[in-house]
Parts: sequence; structure tokens; C-alpha cells
Amino acid sequence: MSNPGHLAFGEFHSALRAAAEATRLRVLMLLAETELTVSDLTEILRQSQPRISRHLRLLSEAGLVERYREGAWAFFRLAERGGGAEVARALVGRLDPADPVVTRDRERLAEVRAARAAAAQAYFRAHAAEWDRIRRLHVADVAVEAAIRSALAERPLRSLLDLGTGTGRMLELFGPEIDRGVGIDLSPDMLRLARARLERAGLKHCSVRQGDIYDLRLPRDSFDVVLVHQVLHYLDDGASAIREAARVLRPISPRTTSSSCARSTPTCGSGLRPRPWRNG
Amino acid sequence: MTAAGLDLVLQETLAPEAESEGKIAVSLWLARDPRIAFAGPAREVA
Repeated sequence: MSNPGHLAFGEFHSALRAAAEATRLRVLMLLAETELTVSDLTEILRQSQPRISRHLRLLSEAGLVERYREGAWAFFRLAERGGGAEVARALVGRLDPADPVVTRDRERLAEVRAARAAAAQAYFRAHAAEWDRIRRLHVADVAVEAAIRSALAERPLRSLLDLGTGTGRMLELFGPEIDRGVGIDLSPDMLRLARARLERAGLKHCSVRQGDIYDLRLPRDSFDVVLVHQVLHYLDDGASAIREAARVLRPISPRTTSSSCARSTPTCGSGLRPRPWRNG
Repeated sequence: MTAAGLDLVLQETLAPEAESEGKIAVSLWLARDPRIAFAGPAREVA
């Protein structure tokens, strides 16, 4: 098959059958807006968890939806690639935004997002003092971000992978210029923060997911740029992380990393190395 | 980076301002996949 967006007859038929049910079409519409858990969808669609799970399984089997684990949670989103992804987006794109069903679901989605943002904000407030303390230790963020932007200027930047995405700031910074952004972090709390930030910025083409920086489970040669920003000093084995980053980097692409390092002060090292990347 | 098969093309250190005694520097590294030489020799990075 020459075009990756094409589907075999059987696959196309399965995709259409999966989408041709009212609740599943509503699920596709919601997942086109953002990543959601079964629990989120249960709240929005007012249906039981087993029913929602069954709908998601059928959509997933048809290649319309993808599932990501994040701690104890499973997040769902529209498939990013392949024929199923194109079918899902094409179908959702035909829905009238002013339709009462669509409007009602979006209103409930907004409530779920607001609750999410409030939880993320609470976490942020609880840790703001520590982050401010760390931030005061090094060169101003604005100067660092300007330097990264300058280093990446004039380079292909369609897809970006941000390793150790934290609050999602790098995705927010480059989001308007890219077609696809993915952030990886180990911490569900940080992912919640990043997700809220990306939603606030309206960056639907950027997503975050839980993952291991040493084993990304992403295809080889899949991103134009891989950022490892303010992360290397946390790692036990930075070389392995760089090797894994190089694996997913496309040829003809730059990769940039930045990391704080000590300069004439013995206190910075301990201040910037509070935890290893791996748990345990 | 070299051990990972990448070519380092930029290394920059952002030093703290003079009056910021005790602050630490931030280093920036930029590397590229050397396969660029086969896929598109016209592409250059600073």
C-alpha cells in the first residue's frame, strides 16, 4: 500500500462500523478536543464505566483511538497516525459545532477541563516555592529560552519531542510553530500540569504522556527535534538517555539539549539534583 | 552525544550576570544526526 493514509477495504469498513454509533461518535468528537480517561468520559456522557470501556475498546480495535497508561490511569486520544486517524478526524470534522448534542458534550467537557486545571493549579501552588527556589539558582528562563529558540532557528521543526517535559513549557513555547508535539515525563503530577497548560494555550496538536526517557517506545526516526531541557542533571545515566533520544531523531534534524551546570559554586550541584529519574 | 552517533554542532554557555554571584550557568548543546550527509547535504546547521 503506497499511501499510509489508505486503508484496506476490511479495515476501512471496520473503522466506519466502529464510528457509526451515537455514543462512539460523541467519544471521537470529545477525544479530538483532548485526551480523556474513562472516568472523564463517564462524567461527560453520563453512561456507565463498563459501557464507555466497551466503546473505547471497539474504537481502539478499529484504529480510531489510542490508549496510553499514566500511573493508575489510562488516557485515550484520537489515533495520531495511519488510516484510522484520518478517518476519525474526517468524521469529526463533518460534525456541526452548533449541533445541540455537540454543544452539550462540549459544555460538560469544559467542566471536566476546569476541574483538571484546578487540580493542576493546586499542585503547582503547593510546589511553587520549591520551583522558584531552583529557578533563582540559575540564569533567567527568558535568556535560556531565547538561546534555544536561536539555536533552532532556520531548522526543520514540524515535529518536536520534549523529554522530561515537566510543566510543558517547551511545548507551549514551540507549539505555535510545529505540526506535532509530544512531551514525555515520569510524573503524573507534572503531566497534569503540562496538560492543563497545553489546553489553556489551545495546542491540540501537542500532547503529553507518561514514559521512560531510557525506553521511549516511540518509532525510530520519528521527530525532527528532540529537546532534553533542564533534565540531564536529574539522570543517573545521561548517556543512555541521549542514545535513546538519538534513536527517535530523524536524519536532517538537530537535537538540542540544555542543562544547568555548576560554575564556581559548590552548592548548585546538590540544588539541581534532587532526585534520580528512575523510581527506586 | 558523540557516543550516541551524533555530531555536536553547537555548545553555548549562558553565564550568569556579573552581579549574580552564586548563580549557576546554563549550557546548551545542539547536535545533529550525521546521516544528514547522505539525505540532504545542502541542509546546514549553525
